[in-house]
Order: sequence, then C-alpha cells, then structure tokens
Amino acid sequence: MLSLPIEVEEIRKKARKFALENFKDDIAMKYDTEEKFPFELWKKAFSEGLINFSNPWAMLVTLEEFCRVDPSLGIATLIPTFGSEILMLFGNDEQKKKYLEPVLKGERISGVAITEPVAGSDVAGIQTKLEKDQSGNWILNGQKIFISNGTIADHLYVLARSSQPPSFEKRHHGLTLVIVEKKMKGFSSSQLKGKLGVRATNTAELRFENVVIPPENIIGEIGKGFYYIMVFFNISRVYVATQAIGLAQGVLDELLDYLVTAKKESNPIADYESSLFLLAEIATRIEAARSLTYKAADLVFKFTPDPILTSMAKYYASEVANFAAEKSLEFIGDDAIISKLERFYRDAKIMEIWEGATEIEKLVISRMLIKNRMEKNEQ
Amino acid sequence: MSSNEQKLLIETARDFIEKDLIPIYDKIEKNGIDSDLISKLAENGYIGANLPESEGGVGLDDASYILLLEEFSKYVPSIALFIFIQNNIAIPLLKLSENKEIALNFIEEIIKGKIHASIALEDLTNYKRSDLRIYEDNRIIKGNKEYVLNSNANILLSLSDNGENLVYLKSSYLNKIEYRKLGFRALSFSKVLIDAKLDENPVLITRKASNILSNLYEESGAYIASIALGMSKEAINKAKEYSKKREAFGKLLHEFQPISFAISQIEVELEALENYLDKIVSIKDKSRYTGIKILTCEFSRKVAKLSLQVHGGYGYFEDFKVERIYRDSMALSILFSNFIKDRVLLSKYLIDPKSAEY
Repeated sequence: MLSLPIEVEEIRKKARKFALENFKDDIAMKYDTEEKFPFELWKKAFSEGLINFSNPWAMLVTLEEFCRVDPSLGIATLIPTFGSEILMLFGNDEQKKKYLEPVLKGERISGVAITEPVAGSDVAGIQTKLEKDQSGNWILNGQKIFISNGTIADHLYVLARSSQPPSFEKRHHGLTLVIVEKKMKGFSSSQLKGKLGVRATNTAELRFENVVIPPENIIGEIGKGFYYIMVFFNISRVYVATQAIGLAQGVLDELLDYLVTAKKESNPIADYESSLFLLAEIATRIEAARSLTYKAADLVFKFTPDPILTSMAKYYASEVANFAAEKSLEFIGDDAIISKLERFYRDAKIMEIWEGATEIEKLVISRMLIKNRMEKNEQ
Repeated sequence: MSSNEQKLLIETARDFIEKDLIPIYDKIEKNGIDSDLISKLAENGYIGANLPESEGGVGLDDASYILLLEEFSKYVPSIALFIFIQNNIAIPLLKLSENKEIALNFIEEIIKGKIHASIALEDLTNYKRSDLRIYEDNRIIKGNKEYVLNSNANILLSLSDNGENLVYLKSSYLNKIEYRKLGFRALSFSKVLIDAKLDENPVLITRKASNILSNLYEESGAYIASIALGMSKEAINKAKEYSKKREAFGKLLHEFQPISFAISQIEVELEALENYLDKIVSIKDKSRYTGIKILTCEFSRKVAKLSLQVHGGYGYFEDFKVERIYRDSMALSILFSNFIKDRVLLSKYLIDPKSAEY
C-alpha cells in the first residue's frame, strides 16, 4: 500500500474513532429505517476538524474510515460539501466568498445537479434550458432527478443547456453551470424515498420554473459546463472509489471477526479452505483496489489527474465492494443477514451507478487507451 | 398433468395474482400477509396444492407445482415463499408425525387457511445447535430459536436440543424479537423465546427429527430453485422492457452491445436452468436438488444485479420493483441455504462420499 504521511495516518485514526463512536449499529439502523439525513453528525464532524479541504488526503482517508464503519452515515456526514471542487477550480472570488466559504465552514450545504429523467450517464443529453432574457439575467427551466442533498442544500451547481449544439456528436458544447439558491423563486425540490441503500443520504427531484439566474451566478465561461463537470468527475470518482474501499474494508472486518470468533470457539469453519480462500480473495482485491485508488488520488491531488486511472479506480473499487459484500453475506448466512453486512450489501450497489456508471468508466478507459496509442503512433 | 392442463393452471394462477395480489402487494410487503389473504390462498387451493387429493389437497404433481411456485415468484415472491413454507416444510413435517390424529387435524386447518406455520431456519440448515429443551419432570419446553421465518404464524414447528424431537408450539407461548429484513419483507423474521407448557404443546416426532428435517432441507432445493427462477424471469423481463424504452447517447439501451449481449446470454441460461430443473424433478433425481438450488440462487442474484444496473438510478428506487428482486434474491440465497453444507453435500453426491470431508 502506498504509504501516506504520518499526519494523514493520524487523521485516519481520528476519523475511525469518530466513526466507531458515532456510527454505532443502532444509530445506523435508525437512519437507514427512517431515511433521514444526520445533520448533527455533519456538524459534529466539522467541529472536530474532520471536514477540512485544505488537506485532500485527510478528506480521503476520513471518507474511507467513515464508510468502513457505516457507508450510509459515512457518506451522509461528508456529502454536505459536495461540489465544492467546482467552485474551487472554476468559480470567481465573489462566488467563492458567497457560496464556497460558508460550505467549507460547515454553515451551509451544497450540491451538484446533473442527472435528468431522460439523461443519466449521457450527461450531454440533458434538457434543462438556460436562456438569456432582455435584462441580462438568465432564465432556468427544467427538471433534475436523483440529486444528492436536493432538499437540504442551500445552493446547487446546476448544469443546463445554454445553446444548441452544432451537431449530435458535439452535444457536449453549449452546456453551462450555474449556481441556484434554494430560496430562488421558481425552484422546488422533493425528497425521493425508497432507496435500496445509502438511505441516510438525501436524494431529491428538482424543478426549475423560470428561475432567474443573475449573471454573477454563472460558473466560469458560458458553454464550458460539460468540461468543468468532466474535470469534477475526475475528482468525485476518486471519492466514490474511496467510499467503495471503505465499505469493502468494513465487510472484511466483519468476515475476519466472524472467522476469528469461530476459531476461538473451535468451530471448524475457521479452518475450511473454502473459508480461507474467500478471505484471501476479498483481502487481495481490496488491497489492489486501494492501491489503484490511492494512485489515482495522488495524481488528482497533484493537479495532474489521469482519467484512465480515475475511471479504473472507480470501476474496480465499486466492483470489489459489491463482490466483498455479496460473497461475505452469502458465506456467513443467517448471522450476516441480521448484521450490518445486510446494510453494506444494499449500500454497495449505488457505487457502480453514481458519478458515472461502470459502463461509462469502461468506455472512458478504453477510448482513452486507444486515443493515447493512436497519438503515440502518429508521433 | 398434461401440458394443456399445466397451461390452464398457470393462467388461472396468473389471473388470481394479477387481480388479487399485485394491486395490494406493496401493502402486503409493508404490513405482512393477513388472515384474509391466507384464507384466499387456501380457498383457491394454493395451500395444499401438492398434497394428494385423498389427503385434502389439490394433488399437483411436482413438475406442475414447481411451475406454480415460479409464477407466484415472478410477481409476489413473499407469497411464493409463504406457500412453500406451508406446503413443503410444515405439511410434510406434520405428515411424518407419530401422532397421526393430531397431525391430520393440523394439516386440515393449514389447508383451510385457518392456521399457518413458521419454521426456525437453523433447524433446517443445521446451522446452529438448538437449545430448545423439553423438561419432562416440570412439563415445560424452554429455549430460543434464532431465525424464525414467518414468525407471526399461529404455530412454530421446532426441533429440540438433542435433535430427536419435533415440537408443535402455539404462538401464545412465544416471545418475539423482530429483525429488520433484507428481503421477503411480507414474512416476519424473528428471534423467538420459548417458554411453553408441554401438555399444551404436543411433541409430534420423538425420534431422529433432525434427520427428517435434513431430508426436507435437501428436497426443498428444487422448490427454492423454482422461486429463484421466477424472480430471475421477472428481473430479465424488466431489464428487457426497460432497455427497449430508455435512450442514452441517441440510442435505445438494447442497441448497445454489452447490454444486449448480457440480457441475451442470461435469457439462454434461464432456459437451460428451467429445463434442467424440469428434468431432475420429472425423474425425481433428488441428488441434484442441492446443485440446482446453488445454481439458481447465484443466477437470480446475477440477473437482479444486471437488471438493476440496466435501470441505473431508477433501479435503485423501489418504484421500479427491481431493487426488491435484488434484495429478495440475496435473501433467498441465505435463508434456505448453508454455504458450506450445501457444497459438501453436492461434492459427496457428485464426486465421492468422502469428498470435502473434515
């Protein structure tokens, strides 16, 4: 495993302690059952200095350790800052002061709204419209779905179409990112309930009906929204990979505890080769996923992201999380179905879907590999 | 039963499922299976469906009964599992009772939908040793059962700690601690604390009850397989339908190779598994029942996963019903299976009686 600085490892210990104290099983079950967002845990994590964007490695290991104890609460506690990198990279000073700073201080919640009822993986297929009016403002109309923090966010970074693309192949042209405040007239949101997992997170449907967007709420350049989102995905996908390795590690913890207890009780299951093989397979895959994720993260944090590695990390780590949860649940059986593994199994699936489904990651990897080889051949 | 008769049986069942069950299934999953519904299942002959007519049942042969279970599993899997527990666990156990008079009376009540039974999964899978003890001197039965499925039933059929006895326990003697359920949410699932009077809760089997349960467990593989295949079929149908409606990047999803290849292959696998199940059930090759259970349970998880992935974000929410199949398929793999035991059993049948032994 890539070795991280001592101060990061210290934060890892602190994050684990926080998670073990605050994400106890009965608490996790309560939020899972009620589909409720844990505002108090978000505030508490802030007050203990665990949400700190000045050290991205610290954020990463905190997310990993949080998800190791409970993925749903772990993600929910850290997700109120979702989308902050967009303003860090592409926002102007006024936007950073007005919108980013309160989020980084734990005073407000942000979110990112891309997916629409007719466009999920196909980001460029979105239909939400952004049109300039005579006064110089922009008017936003449309609908978004499956938006994290949708009903709890104070503001959202919304992707919309501001001009018609020159052709179908160039649909990624003419998309713009804007900041929408929840208090803006014409904006409404409703929570979507009945998720399979990560039920402590808030997911919503958003509607924009003639929402007036002042020019100062345009992020970066008009028409460059797609590129900004792709850059953001290079970061957020590393975090999803991290959620997945945290979850997988949590599963491994449970499996190990189960086998160690069996060993102490002289239960032969602890020595069966089939048990040992499963343990070895899960542990090896997690280690490989972690190495890949850390390598991708290292490049992102050095401002030299490699989309191939990022997509590999997200694709592989989410697959490992689902593999670990499914196989461990099946192997342990009845004891597992009433344990936290049941929640981990439900929580894992979303990691193969959000922030770019596995299929999209595979396309990114392959197309870029081919493109790189063609460019190399031409040199 | 001829194929025409089977066709009629399935059409009748589908009509009943569509009219009487699907419209209220979300409510059933939330609130459980109530006595009215149980009466309806009984009136329509689904409880006792595979019991000979001479014993008050409908007398379906195994091949037809499996088709029936599969049909229920497509749309209302919790009810399929409920029917399975009554028909394939409770009634066969009662039939093997040494006290025929009492047992026949209970069977009659089950077939009429007046009572229904629950079972401790650890008794079936032999997963944990029971601590339920019969104290002859004090005339009491005391102990716990960890994993009781359909625990809101009127009776629990339960194995004693020495593995010899099977006891009939009335629900009034049971205290329950209900678990949150991964799947089959219409069926209650609890830890049960038992403190009962022996004179009011008859011992039905007094010798080698654990062997009887082990045999039932093995035989149940074919029925569990039919439930797994029913759910798989519905998951494939949902994936197929959605892939024909949903567009991305200017094309319908089924026009993308990875999606159409995966769905097509799974459809062929389903057909192969259905034919294999039909074959081994027709020739009553019980040595293959555990194998088909392992294969179909794995298959149903694979199909549910694919279907959810095809549906994307929509699949992750309960509205599209795919997330329910995702949960149920995993739950089925656990509730009536023991990972190690099943594979040891299979190895013994297929390789050598000493295979996989420790």
